[in-house]
Amino acid sequence: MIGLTHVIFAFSLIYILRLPIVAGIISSILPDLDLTFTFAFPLVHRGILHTPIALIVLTTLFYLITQNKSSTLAFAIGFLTHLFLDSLTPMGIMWLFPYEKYYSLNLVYSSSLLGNLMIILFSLLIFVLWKYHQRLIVWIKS
Amino acid sequence: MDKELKRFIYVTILIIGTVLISLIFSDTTASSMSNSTQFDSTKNSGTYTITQLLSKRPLDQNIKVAGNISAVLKDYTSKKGYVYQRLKVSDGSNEILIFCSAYKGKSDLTIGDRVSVEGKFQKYKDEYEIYTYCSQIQKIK
Repeated sequence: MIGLTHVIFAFSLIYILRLPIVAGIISSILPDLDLTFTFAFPLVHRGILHTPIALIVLTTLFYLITQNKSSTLAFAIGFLTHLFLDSLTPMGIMWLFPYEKYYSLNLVYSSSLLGNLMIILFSLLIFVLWKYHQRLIVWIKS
Repeated sequence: MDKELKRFIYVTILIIGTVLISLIFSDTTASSMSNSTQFDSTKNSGTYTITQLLSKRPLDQNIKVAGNISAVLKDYTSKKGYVYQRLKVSDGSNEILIFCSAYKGKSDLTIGDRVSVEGKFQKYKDEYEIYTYCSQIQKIK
Protein backbone atom coordinates (compact mmCIF):
# COMPACT_ATOMS: atom_id res chain seq x y z
CA MET A 1 0.00 0.00 0.00
CA ILE A 2 1.07 3.59 -0.43
CA GLY A 3 2.52 5.40 2.57
CA LEU A 4 -0.52 7.60 3.13
CA THR A 5 -2.83 4.59 3.40
CA HIS A 6 -0.58 3.05 6.03
CA VAL A 7 -0.44 6.29 7.98
CA ILE A 8 -4.18 7.02 7.92
CA PHE A 9 -5.19 3.48 8.79
CA ALA A 10 -2.70 3.31 11.63
CA PHE A 11 -3.69 6.77 12.85
CA SER A 12 -7.38 5.81 13.05
CA LEU A 13 -6.65 2.58 14.86
CA ILE A 14 -4.18 4.09 17.32
CA TYR A 15 -6.44 7.06 18.01
CA ILE A 16 -9.33 4.76 18.87
CA LEU A 17 -7.02 2.77 21.15
CA ARG A 18 -5.93 6.01 22.88
CA LEU A 19 -2.26 5.33 22.33
CA PRO A 20 0.52 7.76 21.41
CA ILE A 21 -0.02 8.71 17.78
CA VAL A 22 3.50 9.64 16.72
CA ALA A 23 5.06 6.30 17.62
CA GLY A 24 2.31 4.45 15.79
CA ILE A 25 2.52 6.57 12.67
CA ILE A 26 6.29 6.25 12.43
CA SER A 27 6.16 2.48 12.78
CA SER A 28 3.30 2.23 10.27
CA ILE A 29 5.65 3.30 7.48
CA LEU A 30 8.90 1.96 8.89
CA PRO A 31 8.80 -1.39 7.04
CA ASP A 32 8.89 0.44 3.69
CA LEU A 33 12.35 1.65 4.56
CA ASP A 34 13.39 -1.47 2.65
CA LEU A 35 12.41 0.28 -0.58
CA THR A 36 15.80 1.93 -0.30
CA PHE A 37 17.62 -1.38 0.11
CA THR A 38 19.88 -2.51 -2.70
CA PHE A 39 21.10 -5.69 -1.04
CA ALA A 40 20.44 -9.38 -1.49
CA PHE A 41 17.49 -11.27 -0.07
CA PRO A 42 16.19 -10.99 2.63
CA LEU A 43 17.30 -7.36 2.71
CA VAL A 44 14.91 -6.47 -0.12
CA HIS A 45 11.52 -4.82 -0.35
CA ARG A 46 8.90 -7.05 1.37
CA GLY A 47 11.82 -8.96 2.84
CA ILE A 48 12.84 -9.29 6.46
CA LEU A 49 11.65 -5.82 7.42
CA HIS A 50 8.11 -6.94 6.54
CA THR A 51 8.04 -9.85 8.97
CA PRO A 52 6.86 -10.47 12.53
CA ILE A 53 10.51 -11.04 13.48
CA ALA A 54 11.30 -7.44 12.53
CA LEU A 55 8.23 -6.36 14.52
CA ILE A 56 9.45 -8.15 17.63
CA VAL A 57 13.06 -7.01 17.33
CA LEU A 58 12.28 -3.38 16.56
CA THR A 59 9.56 -3.16 19.20
CA THR A 60 11.95 -4.55 21.79
CA LEU A 61 14.59 -2.04 20.74
CA PHE A 62 12.03 0.74 20.89
CA TYR A 63 11.09 -0.20 24.45
CA LEU A 64 14.72 -0.44 25.56
CA ILE A 65 15.28 3.08 24.25
CA THR A 66 12.06 4.77 25.37
CA GLN A 67 11.14 2.69 28.46
CA ASN A 68 7.56 3.74 27.70
CA LYS A 69 4.97 0.96 27.52
CA SER A 70 2.17 2.84 25.79
CA SER A 71 4.46 4.26 23.10
CA THR A 72 5.92 0.82 22.59
CA LEU A 73 2.46 -0.66 22.20
CA ALA A 74 1.58 2.06 19.69
CA PHE A 75 4.81 1.29 17.84
CA ALA A 76 3.99 -2.41 17.70
CA ILE A 77 0.43 -1.82 16.53
CA GLY A 78 1.51 0.67 13.88
CA PHE A 79 4.04 -1.83 12.56
CA LEU A 80 1.46 -4.62 12.62
CA THR A 81 -1.01 -2.52 10.63
CA HIS A 82 1.61 -2.24 7.90
CA LEU A 83 2.00 -6.01 7.76
CA PHE A 84 -1.76 -6.42 7.73
CA LEU A 85 -2.36 -3.98 4.87
CA ASP A 86 0.47 -5.42 2.80
CA SER A 87 -1.10 -8.86 3.27
CA LEU A 88 -4.10 -7.63 1.31
CA THR A 89 -1.92 -7.30 -1.80
CA PRO A 90 -1.08 -10.19 -4.14
CA MET A 91 2.51 -10.57 -3.01
CA GLY A 92 1.75 -10.54 0.70
CA ILE A 93 4.45 -10.91 3.30
CA MET A 94 6.41 -13.72 4.91
CA TRP A 95 4.40 -14.17 8.10
CA LEU A 96 6.44 -17.22 9.05
CA PHE A 97 9.92 -15.92 8.17
CA PRO A 98 12.56 -17.48 8.17
CA TYR A 99 10.22 -19.83 6.30
CA GLU A 100 10.36 -18.04 2.95
CA LYS A 101 6.72 -18.30 1.95
CA TYR A 102 4.62 -15.27 1.15
CA TYR A 103 1.07 -15.25 2.50
CA SER A 104 -1.51 -12.98 0.95
CA LEU A 105 -5.26 -12.39 0.75
CA ASN A 106 -4.68 -11.18 -2.83
CA LEU A 107 -7.39 -8.54 -2.77
CA VAL A 108 -5.91 -5.31 -4.03
CA TYR A 109 -2.73 -4.13 -5.70
CA SER A 110 -0.52 -2.07 -3.43
CA SER A 111 -0.42 0.78 -5.95
CA SER A 112 -4.13 0.64 -6.82
CA LEU A 113 -5.46 4.18 -6.68
CA LEU A 114 -9.02 3.11 -6.03
CA GLY A 115 -8.08 0.53 -3.42
CA ASN A 116 -5.88 2.93 -1.49
CA LEU A 117 -8.42 5.73 -1.72
CA MET A 118 -11.24 3.54 -0.41
CA ILE A 119 -9.18 2.34 2.54
CA ILE A 120 -8.13 5.90 3.37
CA LEU A 121 -11.72 7.16 3.21
CA PHE A 122 -13.01 4.28 5.26
CA SER A 123 -10.33 4.75 7.91
CA LEU A 124 -11.16 8.45 8.11
CA LEU A 125 -14.87 7.65 8.35
CA ILE A 126 -14.28 5.33 11.28
CA PHE A 127 -12.09 7.97 12.94
CA VAL A 128 -14.77 10.63 12.51
CA LEU A 129 -17.52 8.32 13.75
CA TRP A 130 -15.44 7.43 16.82
CA LYS A 131 -14.55 11.02 17.63
CA TYR A 132 -17.98 12.48 17.09
CA HIS A 133 -20.34 9.58 17.73
CA GLN A 134 -21.82 11.17 20.83
CA ARG A 135 -22.71 14.32 18.91
CA LEU A 136 -24.07 12.19 16.07
CA ILE A 137 -26.29 10.28 18.48
CA VAL A 138 -27.60 13.53 19.95
CA TRP A 139 -28.20 14.93 16.47
CA ILE A 140 -30.02 11.80 15.32
CA LYS A 141 -32.20 11.80 18.44
CA SER A 142 -33.12 15.46 18.09
CA MET B 1 -22.45 0.97 26.34
CA ASP B 2 -19.15 0.46 28.06
CA LYS B 3 -16.39 2.59 26.46
CA GLU B 4 -13.98 -0.31 26.15
CA LEU B 5 -16.60 -2.37 24.35
CA LYS B 6 -17.25 0.52 21.96
CA ARG B 7 -13.51 0.76 21.34
CA PHE B 8 -13.36 -2.95 20.57
CA ILE B 9 -16.29 -2.68 18.19
CA TYR B 10 -14.78 0.25 16.30
CA VAL B 11 -11.41 -1.50 15.98
CA THR B 12 -13.11 -4.64 14.70
CA ILE B 13 -15.17 -2.64 12.21
CA LEU B 14 -12.04 -0.85 10.99
CA ILE B 15 -10.14 -4.07 10.40
CA ILE B 16 -12.94 -6.16 8.93
CA GLY B 17 -14.27 -3.20 6.98
CA THR B 18 -10.88 -2.67 5.37
CA VAL B 19 -10.77 -6.30 4.26
CA LEU B 20 -14.31 -6.06 2.87
CA ILE B 21 -13.55 -2.83 1.06
CA SER B 22 -10.47 -4.41 -0.48
CA LEU B 23 -12.65 -7.31 -1.56
CA ILE B 24 -15.32 -5.05 -3.07
CA PHE B 25 -12.82 -2.86 -4.87
CA SER B 26 -10.52 -5.74 -5.71
CA ASP B 27 -8.62 -5.06 -8.88
CA THR B 28 -6.31 -8.05 -8.98
CA THR B 29 -7.98 -9.20 -12.19
CA ALA B 30 -5.69 -7.50 -14.62
CA SER B 31 -1.98 -7.76 -14.98
CA SER B 32 0.74 -6.35 -17.19
CA MET B 33 -0.48 -4.62 -20.30
CA SER B 34 2.51 -2.44 -20.99
CA ASN B 35 4.51 -2.47 -24.22
CA SER B 36 7.38 -3.96 -22.30
CA THR B 37 5.37 -7.13 -21.80
CA GLN B 38 7.00 -9.12 -24.52
CA PHE B 39 8.42 -12.57 -24.11
CA ASP B 40 11.24 -13.59 -26.42
CA SER B 41 11.25 -17.37 -26.33
CA THR B 42 14.51 -17.51 -28.24
CA LYS B 43 16.48 -16.19 -25.28
CA ASN B 44 17.96 -18.74 -22.87
CA SER B 45 16.04 -19.16 -19.63
CA GLY B 46 17.51 -19.73 -16.18
CA THR B 47 15.75 -22.36 -14.09
CA TYR B 48 14.55 -21.35 -10.65
CA THR B 49 12.34 -22.54 -7.86
CA ILE B 50 9.61 -20.04 -7.09
CA THR B 51 11.27 -19.22 -3.79
CA GLN B 52 14.50 -18.43 -5.63
CA LEU B 53 12.60 -16.24 -8.08
CA LEU B 54 11.06 -14.22 -5.27
CA SER B 55 14.37 -13.88 -3.46
CA LYS B 56 16.75 -13.28 -6.37
CA ARG B 57 14.21 -11.34 -8.44
CA PRO B 58 15.77 -11.57 -11.93
CA LEU B 59 13.50 -8.87 -13.29
CA ASP B 60 12.81 -8.80 -17.02
CA GLN B 61 14.81 -11.96 -17.57
CA ASN B 62 13.65 -15.17 -19.19
CA ILE B 63 13.20 -17.79 -16.52
CA LYS B 64 11.82 -21.28 -16.11
CA VAL B 65 9.93 -22.75 -13.19
CA ALA B 66 8.12 -26.02 -12.58
CA GLY B 67 5.24 -26.68 -10.28
CA ASN B 68 1.58 -27.53 -9.97
CA ILE B 69 -1.31 -25.34 -10.98
CA SER B 70 -2.74 -24.15 -7.67
CA ALA B 71 -5.38 -21.78 -9.05
CA VAL B 72 -7.06 -20.94 -12.33
CA LEU B 73 -8.23 -17.35 -12.15
CA LYS B 74 -10.64 -15.44 -14.33
CA ASP B 75 -9.48 -14.64 -17.85
CA TYR B 76 -8.73 -11.04 -18.63
CA THR B 77 -9.70 -9.40 -21.91
CA SER B 78 -7.94 -6.19 -22.80
CA LYS B 79 -9.70 -3.20 -24.30
CA LYS B 80 -8.29 -4.24 -27.65
CA GLY B 81 -9.87 -7.65 -27.25
CA TYR B 82 -6.77 -9.68 -26.48
CA VAL B 83 -7.41 -12.54 -24.08
CA TYR B 84 -5.05 -13.36 -21.25
CA GLN B 85 -5.25 -16.29 -18.89
CA ARG B 86 -4.24 -16.05 -15.26
CA LEU B 87 -2.99 -19.04 -13.36
CA LYS B 88 -1.10 -19.62 -10.18
CA VAL B 89 1.71 -22.12 -10.00
CA SER B 90 3.01 -23.55 -6.76
CA ASP B 91 6.10 -25.67 -6.19
CA GLY B 92 5.20 -26.45 -2.61
CA SER B 93 7.24 -23.64 -1.11
CA ASN B 94 5.65 -20.64 -2.75
CA GLU B 95 3.36 -19.72 -5.56
CA ILE B 96 3.47 -17.15 -8.33
CA LEU B 97 1.06 -15.68 -10.82
CA ILE B 98 1.40 -16.72 -14.43
CA PHE B 99 -0.04 -14.15 -16.77
CA CYS B 100 -0.18 -15.62 -20.24
CA SER B 101 -1.34 -14.35 -23.57
CA ALA B 102 -3.84 -16.58 -25.32
CA TYR B 103 -2.78 -14.98 -28.60
CA LYS B 104 -1.24 -18.24 -29.79
CA GLY B 105 -3.95 -20.36 -28.21
CA LYS B 106 -5.46 -20.90 -24.75
CA SER B 107 -4.36 -23.56 -22.34
CA ASP B 108 -6.73 -26.11 -20.84
CA LEU B 109 -4.88 -26.48 -17.58
CA THR B 110 -6.67 -27.34 -14.37
CA ILE B 111 -5.74 -27.31 -10.72
CA GLY B 112 -3.26 -30.02 -9.94
CA ASP B 113 -1.66 -30.20 -13.39
CA ARG B 114 2.11 -30.35 -13.18
CA VAL B 115 3.64 -27.80 -15.54
CA SER B 116 6.85 -26.25 -16.70
CA VAL B 117 6.59 -22.54 -17.38
CA GLU B 118 9.09 -20.52 -19.31
CA GLY B 119 8.56 -16.80 -19.47
CA LYS B 120 9.61 -13.33 -18.48
CA PHE B 121 9.81 -12.55 -14.78
CA GLN B 122 8.42 -9.11 -14.27
CA LYS B 123 6.77 -6.75 -11.87
CA TYR B 124 3.34 -5.24 -12.30
CA LYS B 125 1.94 -2.78 -9.78
CA ASP B 126 4.51 -3.88 -7.21
CA GLU B 127 3.64 -7.56 -7.64
CA TYR B 128 5.78 -10.21 -9.30
CA GLU B 129 4.54 -12.46 -12.10
CA ILE B 130 5.68 -14.55 -15.04
CA TYR B 131 4.55 -13.44 -18.45
CA THR B 132 4.42 -15.97 -21.27
CA TYR B 133 2.23 -17.39 -24.00
CA CYS B 134 -0.39 -19.84 -22.73
CA SER B 135 0.45 -22.27 -25.52
CA GLN B 136 4.01 -22.48 -24.20
CA ILE B 137 3.05 -23.71 -20.75
CA GLN B 138 3.97 -27.38 -20.89
CA LYS B 139 2.31 -30.13 -18.99
CA ILE B 140 4.87 -32.48 -17.50
CA LYS B 141 4.62 -35.80 -15.68
